[in-house]
Amino acid sequence: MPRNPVRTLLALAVIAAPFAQTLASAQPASGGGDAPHGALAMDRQMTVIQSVIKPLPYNTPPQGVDPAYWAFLNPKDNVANDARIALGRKLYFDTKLSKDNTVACATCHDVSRGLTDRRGTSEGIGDKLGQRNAPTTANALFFSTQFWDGRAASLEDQAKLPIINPIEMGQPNGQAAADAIKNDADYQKMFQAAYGRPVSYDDIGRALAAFERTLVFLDAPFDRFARGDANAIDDDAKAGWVLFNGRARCMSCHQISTGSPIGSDNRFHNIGVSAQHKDFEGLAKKALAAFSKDNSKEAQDRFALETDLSDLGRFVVTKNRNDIGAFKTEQVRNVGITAPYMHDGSFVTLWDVVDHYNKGGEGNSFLDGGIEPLAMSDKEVDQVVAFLFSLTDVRFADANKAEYARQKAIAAKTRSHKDDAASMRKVLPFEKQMTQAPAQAGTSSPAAPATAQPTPPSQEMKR
Amino acid sequence: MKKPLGFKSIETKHEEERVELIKGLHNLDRRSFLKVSAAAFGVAAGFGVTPHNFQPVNVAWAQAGKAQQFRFAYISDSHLYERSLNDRFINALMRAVDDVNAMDPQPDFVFYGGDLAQLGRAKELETGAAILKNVKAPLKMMVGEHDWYLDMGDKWKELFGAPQYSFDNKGVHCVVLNSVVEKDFWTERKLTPEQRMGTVAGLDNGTQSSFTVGDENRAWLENDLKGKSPDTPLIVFSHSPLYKLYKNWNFWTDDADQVQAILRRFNNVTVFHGHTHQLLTNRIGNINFHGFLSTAWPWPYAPQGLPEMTIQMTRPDPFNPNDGCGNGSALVYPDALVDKVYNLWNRNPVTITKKYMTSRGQQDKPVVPTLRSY
Repeated sequence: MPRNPVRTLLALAVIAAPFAQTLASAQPASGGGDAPHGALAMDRQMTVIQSVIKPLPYNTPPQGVDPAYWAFLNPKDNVANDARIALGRKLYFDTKLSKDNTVACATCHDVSRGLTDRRGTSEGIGDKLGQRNAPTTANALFFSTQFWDGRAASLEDQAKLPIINPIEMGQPNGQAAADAIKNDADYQKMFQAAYGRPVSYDDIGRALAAFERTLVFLDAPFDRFARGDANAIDDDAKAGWVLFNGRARCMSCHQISTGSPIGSDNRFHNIGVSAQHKDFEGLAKKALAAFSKDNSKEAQDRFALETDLSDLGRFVVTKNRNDIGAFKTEQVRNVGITAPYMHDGSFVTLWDVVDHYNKGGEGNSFLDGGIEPLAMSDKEVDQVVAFLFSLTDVRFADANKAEYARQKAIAAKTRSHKDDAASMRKVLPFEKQMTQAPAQAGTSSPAAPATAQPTPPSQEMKR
Repeated sequence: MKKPLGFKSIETKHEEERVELIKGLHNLDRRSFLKVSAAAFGVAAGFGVTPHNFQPVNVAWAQAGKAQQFRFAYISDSHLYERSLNDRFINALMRAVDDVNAMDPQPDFVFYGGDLAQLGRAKELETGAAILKNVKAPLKMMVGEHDWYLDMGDKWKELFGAPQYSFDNKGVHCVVLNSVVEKDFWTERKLTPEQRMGTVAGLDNGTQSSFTVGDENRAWLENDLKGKSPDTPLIVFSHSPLYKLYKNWNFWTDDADQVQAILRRFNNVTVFHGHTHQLLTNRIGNINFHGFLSTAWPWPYAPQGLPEMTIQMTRPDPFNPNDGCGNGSALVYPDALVDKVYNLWNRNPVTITKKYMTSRGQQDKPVVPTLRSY
């Protein structure tokens, strides 16, 4: 791709300019505030985000992002411009989009809480709780599908659905959302400037997407280390990076590169998060029955957020048995400040996350083939966690430090996913399954497998 | 209407379209209707894959009406090691068992395609037998060379019985062959049983001989088929493909020509084989060949090329040990021709239909699996 050297220099200068303010300095350490549902007040959020987000010239990729990839991420039918971004920003922080005027995008994707809500699962209008953990909107633009199950193909599609979900923002339909703001003179002007037409539900989605494409947070200590600053991260984080790419097997799915700067393969994997307490087969049957009546996007959205079918993950979209319990590979960027973790927010700390992988996930029929016990020591788990905390953008540095301390204190007391016998292969998942689930079918356990003699497999290729 | 759990697309519009079409048929009782529905098993679901030619095929078949088609499921090539060496393959076999147990309606039987063990050890075979005990449908076993060459089949036979047998299911005659008979290469070389097994478990070596059905087993086959009329629908199971594809990997049966000669007088024969761990389809005269997927790993395609009927599996994802693996099923029509389903664990299922086979690949071509470029 031909590059304009002057423009490139300009862009670099923009990035290199020291930020006058970090996100953390404008917020309480824990994030959140007094606005409904625990969010920081919308006007304060908007002030903060405007002070730290410096939109780049639209055709210039952020540092560390491949230019061709960046061009690909910006859709031809919703090309970014100032008017669209300004409109999207106003909408993002506007509670008027919700039925009872209490919920904006920024309620659950709160600037002071890592652009998420730090809750297990999110709270919408009337204090209703959903089934899914709110993913951060920071860097969401880099995903090739949106939502934990990828049920939206683009940011534009994604942005519209929470507005009309009954337990999120609660508008009965898209038109009602448009109606809620269409008499506002500012909005009338801004929609005309952005899209040359009156307020519409579709353009609300487009403008929100244009704004979300400015939420790039890829300047972490790790990036500075990767660019050659050996002191940008500490020794534990460096050891963690080696493990991340090696024995911890993280990079099988969380590759970090210029073509995948957020460390997600954009695919769907069952790692067994809800395997222990859910009957996947039964749920899948229930889901197929339900979807044979209504398989619309809206129905998928409601099943995913309001019912126990939520735990089926990608299956809700594809109805493919192999996708049962599979969820999108989350980004590793800014992961230190987006606790709790996993699609249901059931993991409290990053130690829980790494403990879960270390023990080989939770066994179930649909477990991804790459998930297996990792035999990491306590120290190695700490190192991987240290590395993960080095992936937080410097603008969230204070929050990251506070979160590290908070999670470390919790982990010192509670490591509910730690299972040394499993991680060291003293107990194997199949043995656990065979002994735990005698109700399943014929109930025989495998011939006592305790005293196997290690014998090298055949010298040549196996057939 | 009861729907089979699993691979069937339930995208509403297709469902409605199908129901409308089927409603339009007369003389279709509820039972046939269910069979039409069952045929949808295996049609790709997600990603907007549309089974364009799905309805005409199955409607035509439904009209044919009365005769008894049936479905069997298969699991194959699990290559179990002892637990201290590998438990991933054990998990994979358990997954396959869950898959076939979840089929609704249940298959008439579950066929195991051989190579349950990796090195023929008692522990390996016992572990496999314990897991396969959980299969709800009747289980039919076949032997592979990995099960055999440590103790020349003693343990396998103790657990599963005779390696060659035949049975009839809904008017179709099914024959299970031992096709992994090798000439004695071990006595003269004074190999231990472990060395013998290790040699057979290897590829590209000049020590072992090629697989055969062998004189004795061919005689058994001839005897089994004696007196059967040419219109007897016939299914043959063999671990190795009953044709010659690639000798160095024993994708090959040395006396395949003689076996095919025995089968030639029948109108239709369908052969299912394990061993090759991949999508593999062939048709030689009256004989249709379908490979089984492995639960353990997919093989690359043999370097010298493929039978032209084969719908190629694209390169498995090296980061996903399940990719290219799986199990599957076959819907067997009264004439012994089948719709063969490859249930790939990390991809959409692929169905090789009867019509695809009889038209020599001209019609009803399955949606070719694609892999997004990176």
